[in-house]
Amino acid sequence: MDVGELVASFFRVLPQALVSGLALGSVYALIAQGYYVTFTTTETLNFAQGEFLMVGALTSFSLLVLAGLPYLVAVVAVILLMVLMGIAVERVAIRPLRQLLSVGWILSTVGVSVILRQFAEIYWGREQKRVPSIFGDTPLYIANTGIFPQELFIILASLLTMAALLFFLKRSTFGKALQAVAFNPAAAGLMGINVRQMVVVAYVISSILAGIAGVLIAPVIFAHAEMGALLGLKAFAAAIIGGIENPVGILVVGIGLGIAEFIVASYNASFRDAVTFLLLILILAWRPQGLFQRVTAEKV
Amino acid sequence: MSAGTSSAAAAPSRTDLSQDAVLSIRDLVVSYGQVEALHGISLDVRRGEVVALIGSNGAGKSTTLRAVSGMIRPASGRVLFEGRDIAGMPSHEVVRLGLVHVPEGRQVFANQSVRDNLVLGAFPHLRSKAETAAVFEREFDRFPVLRERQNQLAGTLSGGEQQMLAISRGLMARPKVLLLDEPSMGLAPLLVKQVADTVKQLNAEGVTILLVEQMATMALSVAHRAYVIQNGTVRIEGPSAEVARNAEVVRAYLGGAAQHELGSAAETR
Repeated sequence: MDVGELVASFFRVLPQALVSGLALGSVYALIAQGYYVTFTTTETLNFAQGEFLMVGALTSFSLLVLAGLPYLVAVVAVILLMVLMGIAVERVAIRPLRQLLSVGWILSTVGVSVILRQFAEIYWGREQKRVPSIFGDTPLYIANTGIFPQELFIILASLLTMAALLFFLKRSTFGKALQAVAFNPAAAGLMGINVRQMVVVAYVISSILAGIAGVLIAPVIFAHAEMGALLGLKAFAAAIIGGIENPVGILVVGIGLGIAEFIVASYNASFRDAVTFLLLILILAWRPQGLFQRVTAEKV
Repeated sequence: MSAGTSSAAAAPSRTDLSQDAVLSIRDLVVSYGQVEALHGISLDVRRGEVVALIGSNGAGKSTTLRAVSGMIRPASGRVLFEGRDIAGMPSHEVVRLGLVHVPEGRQVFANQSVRDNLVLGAFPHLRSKAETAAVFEREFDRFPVLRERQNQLAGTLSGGEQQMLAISRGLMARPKVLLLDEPSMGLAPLLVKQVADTVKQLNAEGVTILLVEQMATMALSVAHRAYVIQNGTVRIEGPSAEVARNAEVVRAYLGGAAQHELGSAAETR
């Protein structure tokens, strides 16, 4: 293959990679915003976030396919389940380990991820479950590029969810309180803010994001017990590269990763996962604080 | 207890004090790990008073305030606020009672705007829009520089401006009693005077104040009464003018030069 041919083939695969990458990437971004929310408030995060997504996806399978419930009911049920799981993971895996100046929460949340995976294998079995899209499986063709309606829905729903999240965090008094807890928990307490409650809220938000991501992505990649591990890890890569305290950076990098992955996959599908982490290592060697993290000095 | 060395004649007796005290601290003991930082502090603040808590660095002044406002849990002792024992109550509940702590080192939320810092100060009392606007106006009139800089990040303010913001933020929570921890720390002399004026003005508005200061001259010039703590216990207590004349206080905290200026300032109070 000479250079001209390579360039030509690149532009041939680009539109498809852009569309599918945008859909997958916005899911990465959605999961990674969960890391952002808990990390800024508590400097901890849930390494079982990918498994929360998996539970969300498989629950949507049970509710939509097995129980035949309406889509909206299933979404609300998954969100409620995530609220409970968020409260539980904070109480069991984070709170007992935060006081000790330890990184024990890493191990405990990874432990939660293993438990959830095994539980899912027992409860739902090992095989992949097909969750049909409510928009059907007929791709739309626009200029030789096939788009599944579900992919469009993923992009739209994730972007809307993230916009709502950021609006909530930056504009509402509650969001400001969450930021205050992140910046200085002791001073936040003096403002009448219940810090412990805010930490729980951060974990609940993080879990809901993972659950929504699971419901969105299930129709395009099959739901199964192992689906969360790599998604959670790639979303973590997006959070690190984008700068874990920068939600916009996370969004940009998440989408970028999704697109890069599909471009690579159209040449060699077995290399697509490696590319994320190759990029991660190269970028961190160049900018250890992440691509978009500002290094700021604050007046004290 | 070694209290009362200078106050035998002038100050009201202990029972009188605790009867009309809005805030009474009794035998407060605080430990950091194995180290006991407060060895049984007792003091009273009456409604409408400015009470100064002075002493050298590490004497336990800030620790006392932190234990009162729930930032740290006392090992033993009582903190009576309006007759109710609040010792060990978490800080977010204490502030709702109207006992507001403006902490040492301002502790403004540097990454949020001046306005949002004030919004957070009002967190315990979510008000109607009109009411909120009125409170903002009151604080902006008190410190016009905050009005000018309301959209700036709090971290970009100067030290003096941050102190004004910290006080205003505390006032947003409708304090009955304000605990002010080292408001003059790190400020230029002119600003120290402004802080002193603010304390007097707040008191005139009806806010009861417990003021912790290392700058004893300033504290004694604005306070009605003062407690001197040393090594976690109250050493001396009494009306500010008397404490200011106490030989031990003059030697340890005021220094020769400040003494004359202070003597007259305290008399006027």
